[in-house]
Amino acid sequence: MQKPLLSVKNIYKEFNRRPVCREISFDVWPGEILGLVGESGSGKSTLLNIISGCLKPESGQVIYRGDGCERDMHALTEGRRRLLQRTELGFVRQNASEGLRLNVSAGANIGERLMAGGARNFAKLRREAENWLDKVEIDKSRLDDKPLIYSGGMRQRLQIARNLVTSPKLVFMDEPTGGLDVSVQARLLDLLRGLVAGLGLAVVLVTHDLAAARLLSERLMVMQAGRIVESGLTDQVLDDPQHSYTQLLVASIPQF
Amino acid sequence: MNRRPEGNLYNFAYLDENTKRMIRRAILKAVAVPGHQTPFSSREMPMPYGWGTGGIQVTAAVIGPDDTLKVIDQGSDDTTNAVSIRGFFAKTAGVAVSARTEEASIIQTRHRIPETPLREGQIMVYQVPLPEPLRQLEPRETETRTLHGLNEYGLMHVKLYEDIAKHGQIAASYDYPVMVNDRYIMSPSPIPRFDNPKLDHSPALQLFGAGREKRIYAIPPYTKVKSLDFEDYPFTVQSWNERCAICGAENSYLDELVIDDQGGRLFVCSDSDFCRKRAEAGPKGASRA
Amino acid sequence: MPAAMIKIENISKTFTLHQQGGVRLKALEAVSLTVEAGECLAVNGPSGAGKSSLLRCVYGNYLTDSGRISIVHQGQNLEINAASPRQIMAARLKTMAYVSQFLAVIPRVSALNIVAEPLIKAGEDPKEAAGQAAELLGRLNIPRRLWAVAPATFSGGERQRVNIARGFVKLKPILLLDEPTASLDKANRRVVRDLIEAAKERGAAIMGIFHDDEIRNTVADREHLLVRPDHESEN
Repeated sequence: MQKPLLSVKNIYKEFNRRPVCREISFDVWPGEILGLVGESGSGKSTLLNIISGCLKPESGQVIYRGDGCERDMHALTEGRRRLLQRTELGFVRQNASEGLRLNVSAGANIGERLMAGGARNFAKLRREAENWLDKVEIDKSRLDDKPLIYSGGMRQRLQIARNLVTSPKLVFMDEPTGGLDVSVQARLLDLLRGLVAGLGLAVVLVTHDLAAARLLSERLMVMQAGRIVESGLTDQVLDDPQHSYTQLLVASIPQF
Repeated sequence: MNRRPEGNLYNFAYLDENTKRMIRRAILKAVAVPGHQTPFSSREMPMPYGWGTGGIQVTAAVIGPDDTLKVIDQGSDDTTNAVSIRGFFAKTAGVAVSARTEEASIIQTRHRIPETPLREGQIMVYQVPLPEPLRQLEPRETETRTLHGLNEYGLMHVKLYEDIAKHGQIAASYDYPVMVNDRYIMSPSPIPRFDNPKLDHSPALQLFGAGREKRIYAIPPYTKVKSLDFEDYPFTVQSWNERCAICGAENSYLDELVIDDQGGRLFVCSDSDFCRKRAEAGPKGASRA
Repeated sequence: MPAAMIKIENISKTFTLHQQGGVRLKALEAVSLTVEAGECLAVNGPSGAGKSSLLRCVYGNYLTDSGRISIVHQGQNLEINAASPRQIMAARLKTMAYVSQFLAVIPRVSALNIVAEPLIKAGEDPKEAAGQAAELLGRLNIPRRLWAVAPATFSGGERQRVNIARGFVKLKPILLLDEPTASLDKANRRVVRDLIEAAKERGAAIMGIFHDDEIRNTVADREHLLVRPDHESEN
């Protein structure tokens, strides 16, 4: 019987005694894309930081079962957690400057996780980096360019390559298409879709773009004021929303 | 305890005894954790930062009346900085000074490790301007400390990778990062990478003081020190086609001198003591002088 | 003995529109029916009677208020109204196909790949899947030059045929057809009719909404008539 890859249990988090995440529990299964939608300030990004181990909750557990054994992400030592984060997990940020080293070449950005893991063969690192540039549809001639001179869409694709190079099992994405042109968004979403299916990795996708959620995610959670107010199959939540907030969200997109 | 030399208004070696004790504690910790940067509360010294205040404080904390001090700057005992530091300790501690590597019990340096092999009992004191090898890529001190603490050194290799990608080789010709005792990555101060192999398993105690950055670190005698590299781009030292014009040395670190307006050049040993000693033993060089 | 592949017992469905003062719209009331393997049931009724809603409830796209929908999935009964999202996903992967009039166009994915996807997702070899997809597109008269193109620029009829191909390419035991021939010409309607007939031959249980009498009369074995729930409550 398959077990969830990540089990989030009863998370509570507050900032300055103001609750930002309340009574949040859910599972992430191997190979699935789980969407998390809600407006700005609903606590999506905070929740993503908590479940990826970057931010400690006031209470609750985040259980990761990557290699058969169960680990509470927030009970691990910092060293173990960081090791987990740079091998089995990935994090694609909305702001590329948080997820990339803008001042070192694309090749070094992709190679960093491998070098942290002990890879010490320059030629192999380069081949691997070229390989990944190819997979994220960036021309190999840009290998030695710094992402500082990349376009927004290329930076996001480079972030993805930088994360996927260690074959993680679970990738957290915080508004990966935010701030991109619509056509660039579409390309990124399609690329993600292909990569995720091909690699069998699980993704928790935070977005406020319902179209992106519908395209990519199989299951969807709707967050409002720190709580998950509705969850289910993505098409069911969007086509037959039950909660008044979800209905408002869905009604806010123009229908064609 | 009054350890003031006769007729000297300064405390022995300038610093007060409490300060020296504090610095010694930092040194002991640094020796116990080879390569680890130990914070210390660096004092104002009667000279600007960048003139070797870190090294001077370390020397002041370890020097005793029976020590013989050698100070070199760019390999030479006769440059301004070397002369004034030597003068500083001659005045405040009244210790013997020498330019001869084999006579010295403490050698303070900024850019070089002497060519003459060091021996047990000697102490090398390095003046370090920038102790953090990861700083260039990671500006946050909290983060670099964490990286050292967790042995997370992917970042260091990112820098070396960039060098090779850009220049076809690891371009750092000085301050070339090393791994100490298989645990901590350390900046060896601005010594040429030519000197890096001398750090490894040295019989001398090596102490590093960074005054402005308030850090002390150390390599105890006979400690493994490995220069970082890639399998297919192994660490190498610089070499020259020339030999020293004065002493004829073939495998010492050479400085290039321009000797006339026509672009005439000469290569001479950077280590003036080593060169003088060889020259005294009999000139073998292809000297044009 | 014929087996009931779909069993609907007394289901009701109401939409509550919170954004419009909590208006409650009845879509389905006390609907019961069964569909057996190898049979095609035509769902009939006036516009607004809830024909599409009923299909969507079976597919798990709409939730139900009360009653029971059970299907046979991998030899076991699965209650759609009580199943977890993952169970419904599994049922859609292996057991249920839903063909609507509208194609959800995925940017940059070619028509061929859209059609092949259900096969690949179910574990078929991608090359094999592409071959089957190509054959079906050919049968549905989609010109070969369009196969490698994303259907965003296709005409309504072409899109619908791509959608039909996607629904029929993987032989699933339950087919839900929501006006599959709505904008097709005669030749293509005939192809769809043949596909439905062939699916029945293989033992598929089919529930369909057929706008077109001719198709309905040929493929449907039985009819289920839905009436508008509000009419019913007036009686």
